[in-house]
Amino acid sequence: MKSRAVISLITLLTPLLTAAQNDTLPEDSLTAHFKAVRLTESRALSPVAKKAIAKGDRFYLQGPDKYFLTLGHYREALKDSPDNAFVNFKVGKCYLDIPGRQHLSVVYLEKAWNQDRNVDPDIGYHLGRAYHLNMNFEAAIEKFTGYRLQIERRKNATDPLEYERTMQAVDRYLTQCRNGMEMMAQPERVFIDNLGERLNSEYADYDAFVSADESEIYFTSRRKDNVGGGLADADAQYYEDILHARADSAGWGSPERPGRFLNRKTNDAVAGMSLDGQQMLVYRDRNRGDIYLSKLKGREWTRPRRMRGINSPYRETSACFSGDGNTLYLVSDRPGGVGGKDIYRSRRIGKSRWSEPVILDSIVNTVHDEDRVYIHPGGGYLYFSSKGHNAIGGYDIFAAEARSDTAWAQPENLGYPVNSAGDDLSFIITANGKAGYFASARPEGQGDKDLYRVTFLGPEKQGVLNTEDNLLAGLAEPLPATVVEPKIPVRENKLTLLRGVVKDDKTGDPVGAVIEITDNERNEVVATFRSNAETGRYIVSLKSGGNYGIAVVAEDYLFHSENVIIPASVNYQVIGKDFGLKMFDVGSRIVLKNIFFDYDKATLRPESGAELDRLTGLLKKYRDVTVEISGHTDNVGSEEYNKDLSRRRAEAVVTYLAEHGVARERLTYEGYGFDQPLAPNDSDEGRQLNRRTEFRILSTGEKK
Amino acid sequence: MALALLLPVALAAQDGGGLKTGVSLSNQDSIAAANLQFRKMQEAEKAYNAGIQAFTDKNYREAVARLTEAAGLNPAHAKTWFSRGSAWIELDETDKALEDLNRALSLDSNYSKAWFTRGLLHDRAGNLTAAAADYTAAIENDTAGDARALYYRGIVRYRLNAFGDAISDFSRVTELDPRHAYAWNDRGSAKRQQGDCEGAVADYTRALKTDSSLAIVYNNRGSCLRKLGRYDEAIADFSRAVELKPDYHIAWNNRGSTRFDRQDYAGAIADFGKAIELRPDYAYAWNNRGYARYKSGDYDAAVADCDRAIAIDPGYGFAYLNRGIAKEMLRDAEGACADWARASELGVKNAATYVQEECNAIR
Repeated sequence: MKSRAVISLITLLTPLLTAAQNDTLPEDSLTAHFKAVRLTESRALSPVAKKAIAKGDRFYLQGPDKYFLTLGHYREALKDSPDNAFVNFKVGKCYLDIPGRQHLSVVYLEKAWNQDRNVDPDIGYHLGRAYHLNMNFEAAIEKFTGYRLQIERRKNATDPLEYERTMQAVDRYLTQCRNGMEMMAQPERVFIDNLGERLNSEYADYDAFVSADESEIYFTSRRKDNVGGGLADADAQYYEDILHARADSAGWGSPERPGRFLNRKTNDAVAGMSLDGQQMLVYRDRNRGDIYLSKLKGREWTRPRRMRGINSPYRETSACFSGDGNTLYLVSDRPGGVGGKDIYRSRRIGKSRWSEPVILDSIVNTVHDEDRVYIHPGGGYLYFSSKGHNAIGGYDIFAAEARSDTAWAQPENLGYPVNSAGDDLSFIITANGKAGYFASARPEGQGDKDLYRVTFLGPEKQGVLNTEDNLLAGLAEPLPATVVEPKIPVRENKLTLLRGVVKDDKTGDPVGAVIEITDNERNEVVATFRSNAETGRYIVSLKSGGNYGIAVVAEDYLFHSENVIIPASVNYQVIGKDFGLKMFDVGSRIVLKNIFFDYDKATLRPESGAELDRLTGLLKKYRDVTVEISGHTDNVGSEEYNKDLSRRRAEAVVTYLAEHGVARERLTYEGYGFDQPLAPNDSDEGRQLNRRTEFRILSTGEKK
Repeated sequence: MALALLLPVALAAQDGGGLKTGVSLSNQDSIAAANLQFRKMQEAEKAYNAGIQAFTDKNYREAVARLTEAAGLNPAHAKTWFSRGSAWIELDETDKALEDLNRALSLDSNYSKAWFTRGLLHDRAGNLTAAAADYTAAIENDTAGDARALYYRGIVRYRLNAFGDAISDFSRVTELDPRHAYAWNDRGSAKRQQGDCEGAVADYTRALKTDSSLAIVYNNRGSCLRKLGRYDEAIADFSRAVELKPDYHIAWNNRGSTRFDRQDYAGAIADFGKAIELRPDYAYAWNNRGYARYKSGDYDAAVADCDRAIAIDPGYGFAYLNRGIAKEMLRDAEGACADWARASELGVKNAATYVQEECNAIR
């Protein structure tokens, strides 16, 4: 009941009293309407705590300037009963009522809530406010939503008007919290700096106007050492004064009161300044609040004069010249507005006369309060504070782009962290648009509202990541590149070249002959060559590893027989060999070099077949010829033995011929042993030559 | 068949040897000469084969020695010169290699392999146009259906920015050898250079179908998918690439960049860190991690990372750009402007804009 009484008092009294330019009426003036279901005073308080709370309550009733004293007593109670829900609630609620200390409320209200959520019917609401002011929007939404359900449940037991107002207030907070969540998710790129402890005070400091070179500042402050040292009746804070300070290398210096005429005992605030810094718009709380003008004459500000044409019987709290000085934007709560304080526009119609203000487009003004208007010297943007639009709590700073002299684009919230859940207002921007000044009550400040400078970093700078790829596989992981030829087969010497001349044995004339190569082992002719008829030259190639019979055959000549055995191991060789062919005449003889016998026997070996067939063919061709086949040996062994062996071998050849169709009577044979050697028997080669079978023509039957 | 063993006289003329035909080999002198010649040929062939063997054994000095011997015995044998040229290449004796290849080609202008290898030599020396011409001669003289010269010409054409021609070469390679994963990959890359990322992805996919063990192809496909904004697929490809090749710092860097795109800065920082761990001198990864750290608000660490990137590569404009961006957040406007000015000098356009917009306004 007590708090309700206080709030009602303030709500009622404010319009009647002189108001500071900065009227920070608690926004929760609609709250605490649900104490009909009064607490059963069930909180078991110790006598010490009970006494301290009672004392605090008495101070609380005396108004906001006694809240600090109130808090002192409540904290005494807390010292005695640190876990008592009711005491914690009292402390938390009191913090919530002290500007600049509101953020401290959350710890106590949370504790009270956790101890006993029925400690006060509106604790959900207050805790929601505490979370909201601490920018903990999510938790605030939870509490406000819960509180809303609680109110709904009691709808029937509540005054409909009160119900409606409360629901509106809670819904507005919910909206602000949702806006806040959205903006916090995408913070603006800014630096925000407190103007420093030399300039800011533990009291409210606001409404800064800074020279173009940012070396001088005028602002409004409600500090204790104001002119006259009095407290304003409306909000129990010290009266406003206009202060001035200069910047040095260490930042802003200590402020002082500029001149003799700007500040009086009551509220004097700087409401605006001309671009050149030569004129100051001053707020004074006469006539509920009017705008005055002071000019800088030399080093002295002139006595402020009430401006003509723009003031009304209602409150004018803020004003601002356009860059050319011919338009004035002002804030007024006169009737005919959209709601609360609104922004108006007036034109200069004489040296010191202004036209009747016209309200700005409703795209700018809302049913909620707008205040603290500032237009960029270039005219492109109008800056102002508003509790409407998509504010996230208290006053937020907005910018509306000028579409024309009188038309504006939808105002945009300057966003978090410029705006906070508390009041953020009196924004001005530097001419280059890269920085601004504003006032805000923040936990990191000196107390109550402080002045801040905001540096706009602009759109995020685009850094660059560097990547690379191995786009060409052939370059990244090269294939084996150099190639080499395969080996080649080395020509091997497994070859014998037999070359020479075929000639007539008697005349030496060249003979064109057919040279037939027989593979004796396979008993087949493997190649046939010819000697040159002109020169008699021939060349024959024989592969190593064979027993070759070579028959040189020419018309009218006896064939010539050679045997060549080339072992497989024999490499390349060239053998020169001339053949002398004998005419087909009586007495002519040839050595049958390709007739082979088993060792020490008279058995014909199969390799002899080709030669025997050749011989058979010859005898069949010359049907009248009679021949002698003779056997010859080397001189190894006895004469008798050799004669016998050679005779039997010759006989074997004759038997073969007879069996193959040659008339027996044409054939004779003889064994000569080693009587007719062809070579000396003193070498293997010689003995080889001497072991042989011969064929000799005995008669031709007709004379050729 | 036995006839084949009994070679006619002309056999001695085999393979470019110096033997005359049989007609002139009619007397003892020429027989002796033939004999001698034959032995020379035989020695040449043995030396040649020993050279080839040494080459195969990667004993290139020995290869050169033996092939030199072979060339002395039979200087008309083009393959000997070619092979010695190849050995010189392995020994990085480019001039000598070129001389030998020229000799081989003067003996046999249809010698496809020699054209190819000389092309390779030009290719390596960066004489891309000459390389392309030699590859073309190799292709024209090729009788074995060898796709190598085509493939390498494709690469050269790619490097000459003739992407259309490169694509046609790679296409012919894949027609000759549909399982040529490299050619599929490289055709994909050429398509990517033409701005056809979709086509590139298709070719990379084809390459992977042929050989799913190629980390670089996964990496390349990942990069294309990243360009197409298909981040999940890109990350999957980069992950596969580093799975196949855990020390593939390029793929780690790419995965980090893709995670960065998805605003997974912690993941990006970890991946860039892995690339740095693998390659402490990889300036890109330092720079990228620096920027990712900036994004996650760790400005001091961002500056430190960019410092490293710049220490590795003092001409690394983007690292100055990024360091300036981090310094701005550390409220070191002067340092930021100095960095942007340096980046701008190094050709970074953004940086020039920032100098213009931010630094000229500094009071």
